[in-house]
Amino acid sequence: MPHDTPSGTHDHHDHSGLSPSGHPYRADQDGPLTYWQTMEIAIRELMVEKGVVTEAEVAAQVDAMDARSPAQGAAVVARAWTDPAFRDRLLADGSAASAEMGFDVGPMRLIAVENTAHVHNVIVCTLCSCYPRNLLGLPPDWYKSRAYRTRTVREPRRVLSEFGVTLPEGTTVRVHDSTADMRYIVIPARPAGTEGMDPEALAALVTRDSMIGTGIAKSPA
Amino acid sequence: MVERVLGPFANPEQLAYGHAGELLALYRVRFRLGDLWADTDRPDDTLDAEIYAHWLEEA
Repeated sequence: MPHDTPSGTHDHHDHSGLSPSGHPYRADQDGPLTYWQTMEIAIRELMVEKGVVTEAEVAAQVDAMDARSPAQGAAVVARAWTDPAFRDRLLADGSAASAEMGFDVGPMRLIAVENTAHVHNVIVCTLCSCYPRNLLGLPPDWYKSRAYRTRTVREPRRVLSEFGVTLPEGTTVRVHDSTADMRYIVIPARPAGTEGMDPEALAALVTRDSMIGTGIAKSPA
Repeated sequence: MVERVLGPFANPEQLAYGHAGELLALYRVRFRLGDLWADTDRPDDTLDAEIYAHWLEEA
């Protein structure tokens, strides 16, 4: 790593093209706007000019979208672990149950699938990147990769093993292909040794990957 | 097998061309991996996919 070089062995200018933290510099975006960038700016400015939205409202909406995180999904899972009636409602109608907790899934419908001692669920969108963004935030890059999208339906256990998930013999893997109208969230199995923990402490064990199915919930420390 | 019936949803093929989508039932169909991939070593694992009514035939 460049920053590990003892001082004095090299001048301050680094010729490797890496920043002091060892990452490549990103080129400045000095090129012309693309067609769609121009279109976005034009429509946004027109809408502001016509009084349909304000700049502040646009910024607030971007902020709200960026603020979505897996913590919302984790809160839903923790409630399902501790409130059997809520769990039943979540499995019956994921959108309505999430809305109860103040998480609007938008126009898409949410299906929750539950991991048990015998079933492990994993979610993929073979077409593109369908993902329950309102509960999990933005999808990780690998979720959108061609490798994940093709291999998860072809050899799910190998994909899971590369995520460090090895399942006991006798477990059935169920892959769910999310396309246009449905969004999916996995309710991971509640880890052993969590009896008596409150929903807030439980939510801290629910990782993003455990709700995609490429991970399992963490064990309590 | 049909895992559950969803919908109705507007036909996405019509929506894609800017037409009003006809309302169709959407089925979640469960396939055995063994029926999809002849060489799989886990034939009893499953894949659930959403398929619109007009793509399915009476079994």
